Amino acid sequence: METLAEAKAAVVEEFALMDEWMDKYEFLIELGKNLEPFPVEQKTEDKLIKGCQSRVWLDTELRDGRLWFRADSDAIITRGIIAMLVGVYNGRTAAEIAGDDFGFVEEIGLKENLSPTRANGLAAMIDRIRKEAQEYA
Amino acid sequence: MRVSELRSLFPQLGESVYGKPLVYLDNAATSLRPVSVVEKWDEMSLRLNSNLHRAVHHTANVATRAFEDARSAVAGFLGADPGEIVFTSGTTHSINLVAGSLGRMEGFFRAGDEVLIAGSEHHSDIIPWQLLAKDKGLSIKVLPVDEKGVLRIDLLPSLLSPRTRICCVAEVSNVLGIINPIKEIVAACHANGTLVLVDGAQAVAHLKVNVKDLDCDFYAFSAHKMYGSPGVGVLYGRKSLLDAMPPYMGGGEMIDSVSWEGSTFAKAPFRFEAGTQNISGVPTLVPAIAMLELMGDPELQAAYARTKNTVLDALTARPDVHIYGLPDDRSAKLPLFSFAVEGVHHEDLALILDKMGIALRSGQMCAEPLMTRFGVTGMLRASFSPYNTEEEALYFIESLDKAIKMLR
Repeated sequence: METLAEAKAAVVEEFALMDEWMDKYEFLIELGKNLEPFPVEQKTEDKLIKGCQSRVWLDTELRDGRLWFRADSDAIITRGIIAMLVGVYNGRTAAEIAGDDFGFVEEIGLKENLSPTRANGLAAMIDRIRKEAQEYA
Repeated sequence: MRVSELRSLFPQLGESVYGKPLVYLDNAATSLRPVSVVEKWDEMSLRLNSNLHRAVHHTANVATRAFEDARSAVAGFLGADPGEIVFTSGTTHSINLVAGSLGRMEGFFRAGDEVLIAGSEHHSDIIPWQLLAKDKGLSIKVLPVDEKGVLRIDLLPSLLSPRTRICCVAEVSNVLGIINPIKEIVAACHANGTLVLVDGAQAVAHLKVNVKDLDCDFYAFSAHKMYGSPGVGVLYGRKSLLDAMPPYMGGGEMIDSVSWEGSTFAKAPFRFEAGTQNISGVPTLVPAIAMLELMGDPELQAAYARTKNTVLDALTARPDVHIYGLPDDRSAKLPLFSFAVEGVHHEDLALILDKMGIALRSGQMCAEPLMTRFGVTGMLRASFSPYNTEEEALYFIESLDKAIKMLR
């Protein structure tokens, strides 16, 4: 398995290859479409991330000393964004995630390309992943 | 007048976003500003800045005259008397003023009285009344809309009771774009002894409004949705009512005499204009109203009607698009289209269309109860102005089609 640094670098590189923001959206849409289904009965209030324009759910599980996330959103681009985050942080230790600065998100320029309310949503997703990790760390 | 000529008066229409020409379809949120409005603001700010009504010096007199000219222009525009025009900071302020003042008016509201509000209202015509209801022990009744978004005025007789003190309804809902039958509503309410406040925020840019013909008691709107300056609003109030209503805000300019024993207040409308007014903004209502008159040009209106029909035809032809606010009679619908696309989230569509250069609105549009009524978390809204071209409308339809294909 690639290291956290490698996984982040791979995402940054992937985004750097695409010139047009439309291509980046298409990439996120594909990620969103391929995200593992999240059972409706598990979409409970406590798993809902507050502060997003669309609804986003995140479920965290500790298995063999590592954190495994599952996520979903009713908007496909948001689902793509959370899928990308989950893809990078899945299977890491809680300490590794809690200690990370999530700076690669800035590098891909996602924040500047979302509206302020949606950028807040992205910040809320990152916050939630960090908080979950801190709880297990 | 040609649409291209009209467009040349609005510099922002020449802007590009992401290297694509801006297609501005968010006019219901705020309209773009013509050069004439900005020039008036500049003139007031750069040459005529001084405080109103109080000083004797020359510039203050000129500025006061410009401010009062705007009051006369608005009165003429609405078919009212200048004494019935109160300047505010916007529709929201106008409605809060009415709720606050009536709430303070002795004997107007008693505990158990009712406020009737249309089910399609913007939050700014809901929250002020909810706040007041909590304060005064009032109850709120709702005049619902049907599946098509049409107000159920057939229910008025059963919804109006001897306790209904005021009915609050938009002439045009910011989500549905349907012209509501205000005259009929007013007639039914007045027969019941109920006042009527009309939220005209969406209507003024599109309709010829005459408050005496509507016979409403209050009419509220904002300048920024009719090509004027932001931070400027109007409240029309029937003279006899304004004269009887106590101040809503206290401060300078609204008084007659002040002493520690108690103060007396200026006449309406000045009684409701406490503090320094929007000296630069209010006079922009004069060129804004002139712009509305210009837009009434038959050639522009004919092109505008074609654009509306083009969008309506295209959206209604798609079985996967659901339009909210679709009256049987198309002439009762403004070119303001709120819709949802089956299996595609409104937020995703808005993001993709933005990258195609199209500015529109997505989400709850400050009308959460209406979203709940239709069982949706949000909608997408494209709202047009006479400066939008048919080409822009076609580009919007084509882009929507592309975006849907990408997202499915």
